[in-house]
Amino acid sequence: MTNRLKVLRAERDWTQAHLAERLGVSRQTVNAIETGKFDPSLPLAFRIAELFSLAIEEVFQPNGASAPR
Amino acid sequence: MKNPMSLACEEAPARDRQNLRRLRVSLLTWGATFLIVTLAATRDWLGPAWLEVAAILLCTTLGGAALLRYGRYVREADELRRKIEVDSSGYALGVGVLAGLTYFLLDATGFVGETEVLHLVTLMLLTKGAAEFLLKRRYA
Repeated sequence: MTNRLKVLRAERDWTQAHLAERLGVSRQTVNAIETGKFDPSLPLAFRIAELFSLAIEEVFQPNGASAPR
Repeated sequence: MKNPMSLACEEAPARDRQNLRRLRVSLLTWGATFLIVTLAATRDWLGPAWLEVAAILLCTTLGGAALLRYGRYVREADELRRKIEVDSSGYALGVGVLAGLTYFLLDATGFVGETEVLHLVTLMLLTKGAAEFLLKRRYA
């Protein structure tokens, strides 16, 4: 699974620590998701999408798929 | 690169840190009681049998309390931390079962003599620690 978390975070000028705090997870978790080492659970993925006011498929895509426009 | 052993503690949400503190207190209490009871039992300080049984029951109860605390810590942990805990516990259990059954076969065929159950527990704890360290490095 790929994601646009790093881009979305950068657009808002948020640090990993800031995003982690808003999501209630560790900065290590945010970093692992951004680098594709760890896939979040569905509830956390929905929380992330909600935080960015996007649909979940606009943040996360299965491998090989591009983000919907 | 940051030390993976310090990452989870430094950067975990406050709830995880609080649960981890409570777990450490439980584990230390249990470990200290275990050492005292072991020392007392091997040096015949406990005296009557009822006192020995009471000491063992106390130790087991404290161990059970630590286990419950660990369960709560894992359940409420940040989800990457939870994955690391569950995976490393799985490795420790797997190695424990494998080593235990291999020892059983070696013992049954007469290749080894008697050993202590503490060796198996130590092996499982070392496996858990090593797996946790490697998994933290992988996700760091």
